Amino acid sequence: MAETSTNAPDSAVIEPAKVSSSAATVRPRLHTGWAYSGLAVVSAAYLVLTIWAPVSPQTLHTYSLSVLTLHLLQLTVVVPVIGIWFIALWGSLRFKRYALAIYHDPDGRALNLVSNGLLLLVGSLAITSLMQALIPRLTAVGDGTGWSILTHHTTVVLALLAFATMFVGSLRLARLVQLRDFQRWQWLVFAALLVMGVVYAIVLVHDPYRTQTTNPTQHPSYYLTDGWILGTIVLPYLLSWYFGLMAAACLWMYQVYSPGVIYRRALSRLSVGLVVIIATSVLIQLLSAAASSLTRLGLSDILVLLYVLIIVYALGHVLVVIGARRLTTIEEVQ
Amino acid sequence: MAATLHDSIVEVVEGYLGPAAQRFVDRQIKFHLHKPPQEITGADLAQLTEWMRISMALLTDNRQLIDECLQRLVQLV
Repeated sequence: MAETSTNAPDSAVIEPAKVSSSAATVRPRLHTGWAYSGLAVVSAAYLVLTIWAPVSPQTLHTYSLSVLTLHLLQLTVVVPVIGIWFIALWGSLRFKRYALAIYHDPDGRALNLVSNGLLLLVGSLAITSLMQALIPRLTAVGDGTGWSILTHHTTVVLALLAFATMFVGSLRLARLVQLRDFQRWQWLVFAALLVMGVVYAIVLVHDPYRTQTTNPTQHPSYYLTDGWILGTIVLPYLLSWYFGLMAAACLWMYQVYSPGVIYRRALSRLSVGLVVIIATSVLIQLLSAAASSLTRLGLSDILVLLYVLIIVYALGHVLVVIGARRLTTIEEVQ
Repeated sequence: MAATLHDSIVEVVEGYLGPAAQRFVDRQIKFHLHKPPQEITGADLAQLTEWMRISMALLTDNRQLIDECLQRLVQLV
């Protein structure tokens, strides 16, 4: 079609327009093999560490489980979680490829920043899960304190970096639509943050094991004093949630006020997907922070909550893939 | 500086393809008309709109929307 297209198209003789898949047009080269291989290694290590972790007799007693049943239950959570990591990586890389294809324009550079933040968020999820899986084994040999503190701080620092990067990118997108509704969204985010902060504070105050414990079967949640918990865990988390929620708000603003009927429809899948991912990630972080209180719930409640979060998180990434694919089609059609 | 025909085309298409409009229009001109986008003239418009009709059909099923866009383009000259 391309070689003879200088004359006006005649519907009787021309081939239909096509979506080019040629790397020479706009599709950038993105070496995804390393990312998938790395995730496969992390996943294998996570699976092994989770299943081979020392079993706490208190856990077996609390939930009336045998060791075999516990391992089977762990598998029903760990295997879907690993599946979600791969879906998340697939979605993030698809989004990254789209952003790189239009990197020479302001919307492309902003979207590229958002995609960097998303990749960091997905990577941090796998890395910190692996670090957490190591805690029981190191604790069993009496060396878990340092590792536990490092894991908590790595989790919060990576979340902060990921959400801050997404926020900077999405703020640039919101500027492209003149920051319309920005103030209103900022107040809504502050209100949400206040609620989350209060919930987090209540959970922490009611956690008797947050700094130390006299119970030999129960390890401290943080191994830190209240001052250190507030300064190095709570406040950075609140800041990262502010960045995450504001990133979601800016993406929403950009999708609502972007010009272009067809573009907006394609963008809506991507932005809704990103908003779902950010909201789910923030919720997962809040629940992880409240993990010790969750043990008061029944096992089935905890599992249902986990599965719902996993499914919603995965749906967010599937929406990102669909949106990125539609937007890429706009950039590739000839 | 007065807006060129290229600028006017991009402005119309922006109402449909948003920030992707200029990239889309430039690609159509380069690929089908084999000329730099800024050199498009009124004489090329009929040919360009026909190609755009085919390409936009890959992006939306809404024929009315495509017709509306192309109608606005034709009216530029």
